[in-house]
Amino acid sequence: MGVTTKRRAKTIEQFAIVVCMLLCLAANTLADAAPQPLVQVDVPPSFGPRPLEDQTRDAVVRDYLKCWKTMSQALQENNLSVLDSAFTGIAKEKLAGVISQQQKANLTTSYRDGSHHLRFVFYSPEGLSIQLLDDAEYDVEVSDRGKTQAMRHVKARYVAVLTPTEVSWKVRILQADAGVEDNVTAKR
Amino acid sequence: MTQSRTICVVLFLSLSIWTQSAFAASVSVPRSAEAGRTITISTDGSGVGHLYIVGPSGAVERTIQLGARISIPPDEISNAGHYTVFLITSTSTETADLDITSSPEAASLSFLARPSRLPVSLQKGVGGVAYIFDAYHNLVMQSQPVHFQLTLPNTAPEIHTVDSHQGVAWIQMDSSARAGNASFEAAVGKGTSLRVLQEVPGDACQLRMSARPVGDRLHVQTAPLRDCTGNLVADGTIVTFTEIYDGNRSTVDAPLKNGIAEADIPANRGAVITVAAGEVLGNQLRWNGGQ
Amino acid sequence: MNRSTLFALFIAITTVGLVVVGTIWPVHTAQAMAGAGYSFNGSSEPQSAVTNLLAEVGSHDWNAAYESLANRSEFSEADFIHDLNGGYPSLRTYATLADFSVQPLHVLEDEGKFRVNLRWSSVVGVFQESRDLRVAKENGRWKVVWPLVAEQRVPPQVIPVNYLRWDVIYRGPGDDWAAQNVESPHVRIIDMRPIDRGNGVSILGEILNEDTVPAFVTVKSTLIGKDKEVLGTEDSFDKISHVLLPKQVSPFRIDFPNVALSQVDSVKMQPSSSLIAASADPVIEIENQKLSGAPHTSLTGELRNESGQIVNIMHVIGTFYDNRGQLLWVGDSYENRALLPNLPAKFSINVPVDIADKVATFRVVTSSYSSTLL
Repeated sequence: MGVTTKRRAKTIEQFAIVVCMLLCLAANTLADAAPQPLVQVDVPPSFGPRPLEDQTRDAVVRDYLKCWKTMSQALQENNLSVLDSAFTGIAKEKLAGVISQQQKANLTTSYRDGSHHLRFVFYSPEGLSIQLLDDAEYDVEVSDRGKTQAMRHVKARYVAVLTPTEVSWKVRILQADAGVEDNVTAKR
Repeated sequence: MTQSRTICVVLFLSLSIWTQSAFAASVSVPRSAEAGRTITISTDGSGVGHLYIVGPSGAVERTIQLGARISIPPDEISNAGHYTVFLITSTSTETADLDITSSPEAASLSFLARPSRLPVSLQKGVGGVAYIFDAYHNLVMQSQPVHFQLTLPNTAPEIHTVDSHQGVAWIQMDSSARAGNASFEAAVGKGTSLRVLQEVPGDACQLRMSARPVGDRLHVQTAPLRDCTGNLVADGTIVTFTEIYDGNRSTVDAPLKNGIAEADIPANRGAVITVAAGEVLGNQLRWNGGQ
Repeated sequence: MNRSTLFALFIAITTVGLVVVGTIWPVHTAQAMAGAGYSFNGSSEPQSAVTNLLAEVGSHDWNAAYESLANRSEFSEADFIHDLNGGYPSLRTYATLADFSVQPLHVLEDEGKFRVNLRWSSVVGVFQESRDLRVAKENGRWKVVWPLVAEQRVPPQVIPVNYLRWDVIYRGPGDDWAAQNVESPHVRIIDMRPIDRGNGVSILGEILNEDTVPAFVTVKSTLIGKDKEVLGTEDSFDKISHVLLPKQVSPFRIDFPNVALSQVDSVKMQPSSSLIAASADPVIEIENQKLSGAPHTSLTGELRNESGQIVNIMHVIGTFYDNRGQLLWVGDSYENRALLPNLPAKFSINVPVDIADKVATFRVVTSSYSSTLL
């Protein structure tokens, strides 16, 4: 191989690296630019036996919103392994069950959350669990054998219970329930 | 001629519309159903369609004959949640909402009781939180009476009933005046859960010891050691006996058992013996040979 | 020739050189331990008799060692082994003779006396032992007259004890998430003082179990430098009594070699505790504690096991204070023989020379390890 050819190969290699980096950057930028859900958070002045610190509130909101992204990814890819990062206990087991049902039926579903109206309703005295209600709006899309079948915009009220782990809060219960009372600040 | 042509066109269009409507499907789904019940879905039309019932709580797919009634057994959809029903035929897509609600019958509970160890007579020191579930591990959203019971051995239990809200009930209670291992139980419907809380006495209030010769040694023993509310100080608490004699020191770290600590030390005539438990100092003895 | 080849060559040459040096000028104890100069039925030189015997002891060739003794008719081979190895499982049982030295006291025509210093290597460090051995000439061969120290034995018996014991039920894998473990015991550092020890910094302190349940405690310390850099992180390792009963205090010492106190800006202490199944048994009495004077200051005393349990390994930790009650030093020692019920055993803790004259008071605690598995 001549010196010129070598130099050219090196230039092409460098060019390829730069293009790859630019593509990664672009992909990241595009991912960041994906529409974020609208989030409204209400913390009633007195909602339980333990006051809620701002830091805890922010962490819970962050981790709860993350759980929707994780859930969407898991159900879109029928991927159990991603659940661990955001779910634990019953919520994780139930989502694993849904993934199993989807796999059997060759289905995938996609959830794109458009908005969340979060209300903290209970923070246990020892700080080991926190409960919130979420009036969520999202689009659900169902695909059969990889082919999109239908989509629908949904409004539902979810109740979520999160528990602390070493580094984050994880969702232990996530359940939409039509039976949730509206009077969320009802005195206990 | 023109008239008959018009009639033909109208007839053709009507036939087309009738044909379309004859094959179009519709789906009828109950707005909500209780977990554990069979869900019946009705469809109209004829031909074949695909039924999808999906949500974060479950996913069901069926190929159905339009016009038939479809039953979804409880084991396929038992998780409470919001489901979207899609009926897809070759010509149309119908959608509907289905809410599966938790059963009002509580079957189990997750009971958080804190702390596991606390001093006696502490106001609102005991905390209990119960999350209530039905037989399918759905959080029971309907209000339920939850019974909290705190019991120390040989005492009357302290019972409180609290109605749950959004699946959770909680309580704060005072710890007992007596020390011991208390049973803390939460019960709702068929579900019960038991925790053990250790109600512990405070530090020693007064410390006294006595000594008597046993063979060539001296047996030292404390009087029953109590905290300032009269409870025996916790078993295992270290009591230190120290004997100073002729510039030499002998020490024994003896643990309390039933409020009493005891040890054998050298019986040296003229020795000074002291006793201490933590920061509490007891009496001092000078051993003069039993006189 | 590249750098790695040069390095390999250097190592090879150094190794060959050391082998040659070791062969031509061997260390006599190493030679003895390796079996050189081995003589089964006595030696032609009195010192060789001693050296050979100790080499056999070092290689656990008990039979050969016993057979070479002049006074073997006075005791059995088992007694001889128990004298050196311990009759009950102890630190000594698992120690190896790392090194020894032989010093002649006097040698006559048919008898002699030698002082031997034995260095035993154990899992918690080295302990030393000194014995005076008499040698006698029998049929032209020198043999050692072993000064047997008969180990005390406890006669078979039942000793009733009713000490406390704490067992812990931990959360199991099948338990509901709400069934949390019982919380860890509350412990607190009640005193802490960094001192400069010339070749490093030592953190001295005391930790209290202020709870009502036994605790397994450890203390970790991090030295932070002037520029907020971490100078080192160490823990108390064995310079602490790890199991603390309620309201019990243990001293601790954490050593940072090769750090000067002048480099240290702050010290971060991290005590930790966990629940542990524990027993209040055995209770150890520490009798006749006294501080011996200079030049070799040490805290001495006797340990008496007041329970019926044989203590296999006994650890004694001393805390030394000045006349204002300030911590001066934390020292420790291990007993290399088992501590039997109600049979006192002596202990000694060395106090550094520069600290000894400042010591006004002291406190001694013990921790014991008993196991039928040892």
